[in-house]
Amino acid sequence: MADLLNIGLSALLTQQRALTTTSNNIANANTPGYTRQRVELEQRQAQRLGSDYLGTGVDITTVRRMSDDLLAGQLRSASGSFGRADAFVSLAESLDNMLADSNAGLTATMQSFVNSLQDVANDPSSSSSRQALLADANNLVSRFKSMDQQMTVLSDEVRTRLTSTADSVTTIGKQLADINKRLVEAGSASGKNSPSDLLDKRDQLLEQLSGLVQVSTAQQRDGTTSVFIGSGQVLVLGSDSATIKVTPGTADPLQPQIVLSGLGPNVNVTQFITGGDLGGTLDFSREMLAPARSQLGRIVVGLVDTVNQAHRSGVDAEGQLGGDFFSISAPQAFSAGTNTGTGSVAVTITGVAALEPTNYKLSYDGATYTLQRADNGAVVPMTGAGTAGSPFVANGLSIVVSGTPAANDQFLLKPLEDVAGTMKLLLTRPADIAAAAPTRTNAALGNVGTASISAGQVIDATNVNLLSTSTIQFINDTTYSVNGAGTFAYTPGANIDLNGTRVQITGTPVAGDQFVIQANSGGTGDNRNIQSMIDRLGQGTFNGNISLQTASAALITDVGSRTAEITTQRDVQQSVLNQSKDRLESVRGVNLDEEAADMLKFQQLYQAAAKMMTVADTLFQTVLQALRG
Amino acid sequence: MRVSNDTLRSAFLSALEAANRRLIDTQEKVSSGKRVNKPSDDPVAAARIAHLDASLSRLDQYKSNSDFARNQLGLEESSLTSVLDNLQRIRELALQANNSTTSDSDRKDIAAEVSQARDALLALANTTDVDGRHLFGGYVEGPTPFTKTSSGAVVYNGDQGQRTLQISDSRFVAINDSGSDVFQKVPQGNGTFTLAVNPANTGTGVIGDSGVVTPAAWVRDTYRINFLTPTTYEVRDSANAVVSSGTFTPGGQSIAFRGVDIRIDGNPASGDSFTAAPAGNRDVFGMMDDLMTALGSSTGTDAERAKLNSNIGQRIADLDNALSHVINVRGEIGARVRALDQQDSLSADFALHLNTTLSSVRDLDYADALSRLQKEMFGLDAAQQTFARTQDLSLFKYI
Repeated sequence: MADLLNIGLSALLTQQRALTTTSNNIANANTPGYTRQRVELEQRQAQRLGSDYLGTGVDITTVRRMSDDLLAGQLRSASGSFGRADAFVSLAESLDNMLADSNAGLTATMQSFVNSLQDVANDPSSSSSRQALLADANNLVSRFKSMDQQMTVLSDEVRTRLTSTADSVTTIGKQLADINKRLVEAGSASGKNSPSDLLDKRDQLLEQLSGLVQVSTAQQRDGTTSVFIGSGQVLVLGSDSATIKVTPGTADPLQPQIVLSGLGPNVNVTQFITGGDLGGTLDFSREMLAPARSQLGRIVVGLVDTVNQAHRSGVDAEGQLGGDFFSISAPQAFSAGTNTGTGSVAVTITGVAALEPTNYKLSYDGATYTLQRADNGAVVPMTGAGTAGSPFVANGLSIVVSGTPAANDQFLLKPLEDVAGTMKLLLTRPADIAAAAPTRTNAALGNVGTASISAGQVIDATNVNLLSTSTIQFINDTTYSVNGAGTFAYTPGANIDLNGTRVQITGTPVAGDQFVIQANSGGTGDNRNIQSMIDRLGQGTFNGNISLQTASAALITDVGSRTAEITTQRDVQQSVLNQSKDRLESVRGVNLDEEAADMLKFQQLYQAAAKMMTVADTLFQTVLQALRG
Repeated sequence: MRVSNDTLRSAFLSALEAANRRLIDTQEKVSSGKRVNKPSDDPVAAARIAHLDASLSRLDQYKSNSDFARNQLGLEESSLTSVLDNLQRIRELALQANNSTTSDSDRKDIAAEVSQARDALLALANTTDVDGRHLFGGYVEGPTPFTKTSSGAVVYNGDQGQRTLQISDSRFVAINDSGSDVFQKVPQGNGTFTLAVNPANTGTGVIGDSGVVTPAAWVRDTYRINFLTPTTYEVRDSANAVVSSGTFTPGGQSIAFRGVDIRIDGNPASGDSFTAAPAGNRDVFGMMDDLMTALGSSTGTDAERAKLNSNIGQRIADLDNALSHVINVRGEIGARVRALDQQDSLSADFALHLNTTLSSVRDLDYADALSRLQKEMFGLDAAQQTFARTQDLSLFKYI
């Protein structure tokens, strides 16, 4: 009888516990991060009865937390990938939207500048068309500036986002360290089960953390979990956690770097950060924003160089040689903060056509210098010795190293990235526009031959004799002299270069025919220089015959396709994340129907056990009555 | 696989979210009417749109350049037409002066009228556009291109510049002709040589129709035809070497040498001479001066009348050259205007083509978009209903 009661009691108690677990499951069905629990039952040890064994009831072996470490790890990794793509997309969309407006777009503004040049070419002496050109040039400058401004805002956003994300990572690290401490206190190491709620909390924090940055974890023997960032940099170790900070870059203060501190010496982990919001933000800055800024800078440098070169070859309305039309600042170069030598680097742009839209890293190993592109890491071959007399020349840049760099010193070269914002219009008065060519040609009135001379093209505006008069006089129909001296063979249509002006003579001259190249004084109706500017703006400015318009379109395509690509990636990562979440949830999530069924099951068993107690009682009463008998 | 309640709900939620996103995207496209609203919608198309927009804007500019050119050329053409009328009138006057019935005093009146016409021509050569810029100064638009010196001669202050405007990516058209080209570079005589009568001639020899017969045989030089007697002549070159000689039939005969035929009518006297010099360029104002000088000579004797006839005859030849020269310039303007018209129509065709392409690249296919919108709305609706229904399912309702 006592056995019967004991068995009944064990059944009652276990079903009660099971019901409690079920009700806890139901209660937490909507709690984020909750892992369902299940009571595991076991038959009690049997009692030997002669050669047989009698059952003695039921026991609870454990209240199991239905988790799966493998699936949880997969979820964390998926969440890291999604976090990266999501952060990247939200930043990339800003850049994408910036280039979306077709009316205010780059190509439209540049075309409108060219159209204004055409208006001046139509009517070079009209001050209203000159005024309109200055206005449009100003427009162009502000368009470039505002694009640069918007990109600067984006890099500020990158910095802010990195800072706040880093703060969150630090906070989560602290909480994880705290949980580790409590797990140790709960005696997890001594083989006892860990408190479910702490483990749930830990898993949830790890999940959140991996959305911010890709982490790896290691389960320690004392029940704590160590968390690592990047290639094994410790974020959480036992009850200690590191601090993640965003500091201005040691080389370029505008490029933020991420420093891990608190556990041992400070470590710059910027290049080890992958995945998560942090990784996505850094990747956006490196892979999209910096190249886009460099591309924009290259367009500005190309435009300014083309316009200035053409403008310097002309004369303005007052007969003065044209100066620069626009100005931009010189390229920037930085020494890395870790440099131990005294070397510094100066960069100038010497070949616009060869420019590539990227930053560079110049490193010194004690004997030789190596130049690497920042966008793809490719090594760029250089010529020259790096001295002022013989600078390094690579990709249109001239690099001069001064001072004494030490081995392993590094320099960051930013030839184009910040250029767009520094563009300025130098001309202030409409009369300053050099629409005319400095020289003109005349055929003498007395010429009797059929030869004619071209209008002339200035090929070297710096020639000191540019404005001196040159007279070409034909000695006979095959030779001519210049200013009465020399005998030159005449080839119809061949270039004749005199004092920086190039002309062609065609047709059949007669001895005594004269052609004159002279200063274009009073030539207010001349538009040759503006026309040559328009022509140059339409040509290939960069190697590979890439015109400014093509370069602008390439910027649009690059940003657009990168945004589209990363958006697709985000969508894929989203479904991967959803799938791994579903798979983990399928193990740990609460299903109310299941709990209802369990509840019924445990309830029925509880009733049956209670009935068993009654039966035991009845049996006992029967025996008592029989004895009383 | 077990499905937790949370999975069920979040699966539905993400499906709803996706359906919502698609719907908003389509809505945005429908309301803007554009298929490509930002570069990432279709990166290649976005770049093409930028190119096409720029090309269209360039075409617009070419059209405005071409309109400007047409204006300028129209102005020049109408000035040149007046120049032609003027020259024509002077030529008539010269013909009239050459008439045997015109008296010396009549010729004085004619000379006065030619002088008037010369001033009118000067005014035409100094034509300005509405902004006061001179049409015929070459690049020099400011200062007056043709001015009279104190001696009454006309000098040119401009240059030989010609401004060109761009009317297509590869086509340029000149919008002016310098005063030097229009008024100064007029060939004299017949373009190969000019004839002159020796003022000391005593006979009645008159220069008649002369010309080049064999251009290859012509050697540029100044030749003098000397009448040794009324019936014999010789032709000497500038080195005084005899080039040709022969007999002359009084009354009129052509004298041939070095590929040219020079006709002398009338009866030259012994010792009379005529010169054939290589033709150069003369400006029209100088031609007027020459004409007025010729008109001023008296015709008291037959010899004087013969000289007058020869001289005016040569001036009329000059005027004919001037007329055909200006007609050529005007013809060239006409050709340029035709080029403008042709380019305009080419550009218009091209713009239409670009617009069609742009529309196909950028604009939304409304029928497609609206049916997609409907489908997406239907999908969203269905998802919402399913969600509501399945959320209603629970075993707890039955216990």
